[in-house]
Amino acid sequence: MTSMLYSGGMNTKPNLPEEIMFGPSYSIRANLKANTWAFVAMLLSWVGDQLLSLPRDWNVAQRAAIAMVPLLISLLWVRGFTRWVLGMDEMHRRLTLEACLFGTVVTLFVVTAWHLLDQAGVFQAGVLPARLHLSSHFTAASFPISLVLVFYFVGYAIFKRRYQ
Amino acid sequence: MKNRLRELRAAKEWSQADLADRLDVSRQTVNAIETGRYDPSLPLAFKVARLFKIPIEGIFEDE
Repeated sequence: MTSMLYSGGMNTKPNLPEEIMFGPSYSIRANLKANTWAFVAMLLSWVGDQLLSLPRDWNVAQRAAIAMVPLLISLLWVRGFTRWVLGMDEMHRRLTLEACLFGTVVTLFVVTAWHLLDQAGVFQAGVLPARLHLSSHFTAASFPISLVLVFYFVGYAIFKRRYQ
Repeated sequence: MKNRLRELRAAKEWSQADLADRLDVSRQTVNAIETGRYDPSLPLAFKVARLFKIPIEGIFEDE
C-alpha cells in the first residue's frame, strides 16, 4: 500500500506540479500520491486537539505524545512529497524547488517581521489592526505551515512565467 | 542558448508530446527548451543528441 503513495513504479510519465494545484490539470490520484500523509497528519492533529480538550487528566508524556504524533507523521509526508518531486522532469523539479525555497524564505521573513513589529508595539498602538497581533495567530502550528503553502503557490506562479 | 530542437522534431514529424515521451520529460519542458526559455541539463542534452544521432554542438549553440 505504501508504494502507492510514491511516484515510482509503472508510471513513466513525469509528475507535474500542476497535478496537485486546483486547475485543469488537477488529479486526485496525484494529490493522494504526494500528500496522503499530510492529510493523515491534519486528521491526527484534529483528533489530538479533541483528545487534549477532553476533561481528562493526561500526564506530560501523554500530552507530548499526542501533540507530537502529527509532526512525526509529517516527516512521512516530507518523504512522500520528496519522492513525488524526484518523479518530476528536471525543469519542473527545479521550478518546484525554487517555489519551495521562495515559500520558506518569504514565510521566515513575514514571521520575523511580524514578530519584530509586535515587539515594537505596532499592533498595540493601533497602527495595524489588533487582530493581527502575534499571539492570535502564531500559537497555531498550522498558521506558518499555511503561510509556506500560500507563498509556495505564489512563488510557483512567478517562476513558472519564466519558462512559458 | 539557441537550439535546433523544433526543426529536428519537425523533420521527424513528431509532436512535442511525442518528443517528450521519448525524452521522459513533460511536453511543457520540450516547449520551454524549443523556445529557448529553459536550458536542459547536460544529461538531457546528451539524451537529445543520442535520440537525433547528432552531436550536442549540432543541436545546441551558445549565444
